Amino acid sequence: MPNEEAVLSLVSESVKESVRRGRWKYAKPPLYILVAMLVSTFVYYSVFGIGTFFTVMPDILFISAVIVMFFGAWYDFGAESYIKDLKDFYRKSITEADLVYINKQQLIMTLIYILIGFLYIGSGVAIYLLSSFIS
Amino acid sequence: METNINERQDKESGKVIVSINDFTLTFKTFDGTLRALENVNLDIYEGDTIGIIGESGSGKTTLATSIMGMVADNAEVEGYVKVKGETVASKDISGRSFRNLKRRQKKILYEKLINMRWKDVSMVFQGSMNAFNPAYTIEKQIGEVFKIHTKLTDEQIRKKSIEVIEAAGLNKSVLKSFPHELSGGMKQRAVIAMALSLSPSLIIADEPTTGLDVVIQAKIIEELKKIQRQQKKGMIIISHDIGVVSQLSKKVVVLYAGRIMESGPTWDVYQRPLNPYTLALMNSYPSLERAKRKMNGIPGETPDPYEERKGCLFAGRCGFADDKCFNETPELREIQKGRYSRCHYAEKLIGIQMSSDLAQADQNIEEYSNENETIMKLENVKEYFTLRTSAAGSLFSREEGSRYVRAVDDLSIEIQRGEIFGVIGESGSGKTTLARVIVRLLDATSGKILYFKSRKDTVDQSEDKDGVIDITAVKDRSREIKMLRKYSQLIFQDPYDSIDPTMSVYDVVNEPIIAHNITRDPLVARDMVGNALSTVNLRPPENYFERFSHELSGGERQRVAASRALVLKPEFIVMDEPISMLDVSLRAGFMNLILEMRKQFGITVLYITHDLASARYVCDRLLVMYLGVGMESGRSEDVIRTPLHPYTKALLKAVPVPSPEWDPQLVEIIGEIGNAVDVPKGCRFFKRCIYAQSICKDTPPPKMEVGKDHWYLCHFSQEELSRIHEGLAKKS
Repeated sequence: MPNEEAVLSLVSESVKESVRRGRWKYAKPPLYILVAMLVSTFVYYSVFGIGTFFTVMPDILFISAVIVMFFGAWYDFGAESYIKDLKDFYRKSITEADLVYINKQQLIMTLIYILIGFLYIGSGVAIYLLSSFIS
Repeated sequence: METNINERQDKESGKVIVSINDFTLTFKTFDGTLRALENVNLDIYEGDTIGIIGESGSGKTTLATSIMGMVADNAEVEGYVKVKGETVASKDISGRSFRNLKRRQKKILYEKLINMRWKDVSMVFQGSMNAFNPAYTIEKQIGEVFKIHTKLTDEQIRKKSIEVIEAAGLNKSVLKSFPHELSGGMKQRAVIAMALSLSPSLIIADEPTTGLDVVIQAKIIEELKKIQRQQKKGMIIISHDIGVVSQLSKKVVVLYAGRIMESGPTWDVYQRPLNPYTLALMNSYPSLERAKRKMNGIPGETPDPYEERKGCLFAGRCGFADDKCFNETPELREIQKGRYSRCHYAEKLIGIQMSSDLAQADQNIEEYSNENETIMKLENVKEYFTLRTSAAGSLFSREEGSRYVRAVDDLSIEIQRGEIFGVIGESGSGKTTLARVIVRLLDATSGKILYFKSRKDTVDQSEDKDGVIDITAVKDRSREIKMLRKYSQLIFQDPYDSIDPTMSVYDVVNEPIIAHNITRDPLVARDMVGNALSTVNLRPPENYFERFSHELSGGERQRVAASRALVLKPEFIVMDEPISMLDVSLRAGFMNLILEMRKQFGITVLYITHDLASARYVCDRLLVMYLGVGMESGRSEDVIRTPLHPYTKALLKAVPVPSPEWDPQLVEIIGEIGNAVDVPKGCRFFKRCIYAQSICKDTPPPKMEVGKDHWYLCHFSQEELSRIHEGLAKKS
């Protein structure tokens, strides 16, 4: 078929794009939570004048970081239901290479979550340092 | 009392299962009294197979549910229905009278009905394949019947479930499946298995094949025939498809507005109808085995069921009617031995025979002569979808794993200006995707779709000097795409869904005028809407302006959809199964409208359907699609009369025709259409083709050209296919 290579390259490009989108979809919730926590700290301080958040928040962020990292390590990111769908709905067989690819993607997601965990810790340290200026 | 239809031969031979005597059923509603059935007399004997045909609203399903003892609370009943001697519907116990029964009487009646249902009479309801509980496996749902009606243990129920599922032609592994894991045909067979579970004496199948593809339909007919043969079950087949009814029943009852119009042996009724209504019904729809004659449909509409009844109910639509018909109610009389008709002039119809000669084709339908001017050219068009509906799917699909659906794969066709180009194939073959790609509702993955504008446009819009637009390359919101939207229109399958119920007919048809900013003058817009409605025979248009879609019949709604498509005077219309939701009597009218639109305005039509008879009637050329690939293409008469590809041959053989020679076992196709994900490297049809050889597995088939414009995609010539066929016959 004449355009097979061109079509496959288009499809491959769309696959890469959708993998990026998939990763971002899973990474979004903990990032949004982090932003919400940071914003709430400043809102409580600037609007209500409650400065204690600056002393409590680093601890909360550190605990959250551990939770996020553990969540990333334990959660399968929908791999099980995806495999089940492939087998039951699309009647596809799962090869060894498929499983390696899925494990690789899971590992990447876990690393992303660990990275996000470090972002939490970094934010906690930043707030801790900031609190010493405020107080 | 009227005469029973089958008394001549069966009274001696069998036991009465169902006895319906002078049965009249009316519904009391806020609008008045609706007469659903009137003086119906019918005896069904053990092993009888009876077909009931008629238009929508003729009372077919009401009659069937009455046999099951399911009469609505607001109904009033005269006469009775008895099943094996027990009254299940009568004046004293059904409908409004049921409320007046004492609690004990109600309890006794319930127990009687529970004992009767499934054990004596079971029913396959219309669309029941979609009524499975999605949360339970098939085994659990079939097992429920045994649990409620028998005292079998779980192990015995399991064994019985396996027996019935195998009797319905399914593998026992299906029992562990959930409904969504099964195809439509498998679900329908599972419903039939459920109906067979308690080995009833009579099975009522209400439209058992409606909504299924022809190949699946042939398989369901085969299973039902096998059940009739092996288990000697009585059956009532309710359908609007005369082909299905003729294959599954020995006798046929024609219902119209709640009255039996005609009854008798199926072949006789089909070949020599003795009632004008039956004649009109048979003539209102093209069939593959009959000549390609001009169909006229049945004029007018069924009588208002709320109105007072006088004379023959069909008189208003009957070409033979005179004063007597309007004033005197005809009786159901025996006209010939075993043939009953409710017509004053039934004797005059003796001798009128339905023609069934394929050789007489092309008699009245005008042949389209194309001027070799192309309007649309598709070059190697592909539309692939990736299997990534969820975030997990996006993440874990491997690029080298080819996880994409090849909905349309390397398709090249040319559509001539003014022709009606048909695309046929089973569900899932990529017909609708192709249409969507053509009108740019979907972006093609690759390939070119060239739209050749008419000369007038080329002059008007001088910047497009060549007058060709590559639909796949134009940008969104560009002038070209706006022009394309204006000149190519769509008519969808379901007129009940495609028209906004909150908009009046005027607003619906006026919407494209506003969207394309054609005019701001309300008088001009009014004229345009009026003309569009007149074109589709909604006259006078003013009468329709203020009406809403619920005030229109199915045929009128589809005409409104057509007028919406026509109002901008398009050059190209895509019609996606436009008649499949219409009643059988309205289909001919709409098909004629398509032909008329082409004749009057020179509109080019892409007609998508899985109904081969309608495709033959309206289309000039046909493309047969299978799993995204064009398998055969040519003049419609050539494709239908001399099919070349094994898939086309199988499709044509799968269409049930009212002929004793038709045998669903002769349909040369294996299994059901697969998905377009795991397609074979070679021929797409390889896994289902009985002619398949080793070359078909890995090598894509070449295009074999036979005569002008007729080609098919196969490794073998017709002589080679015949040789393979002979070899197969010898082996078997």
